Amino acid sequence: MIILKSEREINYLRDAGRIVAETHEEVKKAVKPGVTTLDLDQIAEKYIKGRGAIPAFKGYHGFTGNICSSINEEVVHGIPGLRKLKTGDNVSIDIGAVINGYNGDAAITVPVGEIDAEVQKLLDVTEESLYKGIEQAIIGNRLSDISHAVQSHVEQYGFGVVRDYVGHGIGRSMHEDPQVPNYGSPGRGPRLKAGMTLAIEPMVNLGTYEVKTLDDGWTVVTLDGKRSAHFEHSIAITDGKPEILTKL
Amino acid sequence: MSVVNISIGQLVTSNAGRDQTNIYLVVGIEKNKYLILVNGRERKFKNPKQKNIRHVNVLKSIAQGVAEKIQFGIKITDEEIRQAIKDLYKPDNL
Repeated sequence: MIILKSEREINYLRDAGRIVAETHEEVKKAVKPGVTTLDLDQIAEKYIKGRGAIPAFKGYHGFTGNICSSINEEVVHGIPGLRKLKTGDNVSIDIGAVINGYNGDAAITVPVGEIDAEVQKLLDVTEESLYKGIEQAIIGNRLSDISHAVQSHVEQYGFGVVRDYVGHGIGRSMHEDPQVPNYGSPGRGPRLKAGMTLAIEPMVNLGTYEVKTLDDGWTVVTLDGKRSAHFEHSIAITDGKPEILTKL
Repeated sequence: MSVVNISIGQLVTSNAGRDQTNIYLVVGIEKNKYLILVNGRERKFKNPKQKNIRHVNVLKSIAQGVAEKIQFGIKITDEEIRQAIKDLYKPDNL
């Protein structure tokens, strides 16, 4: 069941989204060669708690980190650890925060130092595809119009869109209905209405779209070991343009 | 954080609990957290199993016939579920 949010609820989601966006800024500043993902995790935890919010991921189905940090071939759900970032890596940072019972969820992929032109292109295309998807989140469109916009933008560059993991509705729970795939034909699924809040998150691989989960039960990596990028925003569908909740 | 892409009619195998390695079809998803599972044998449509979404492996096959019937609210029999699992659970489909 898709839960429509009132203006008051969207205000709470804005608060949560703002904290997530600010945390991203803090963490982004700290990304440099030699830093471990656990350091980034701690910076995020300190900032989120300092703002009076709670990290949303910690304890979620037993996840041990405050953030998900996925390096290079890791697609999503990387557990922060002692792995050090190197020049040329790309690290995706996924942050969630809860305040007043409402969730914010967003992700960015950050280059570490100088990276290959090919990888930079991957990051650019993934971010562009997220905004292409958000553009379609207007009243009257159907859910898969978002999916189709993301897929068609990504695939014209020959990259692969991950099928096995999808975006989601967001509100009092981090994961609500509907599921928001990043692929599919247009004109399918429920019609979009004002008050829907969605987390749109394209995950794009340099090679094949196929992925596998490592033995830790969380970390998802690309099947061919090539790089992957992940961008995400929480948005609210309004009478006019969609509003991005997790942007400063 | 993204969610696992599971739809109604999807084939899954259990990877935790005493029903480990059992094969099921998904007939419902609750709050993006629990799956309602049937196999037409120990778990019939009238007495489905509820299972945490993280305690299954998602296979690639989807029983389209079963999915459509559930979507339109048409009754499905345990016979159909058994047949769908039998048809789908083949090495090429996994």
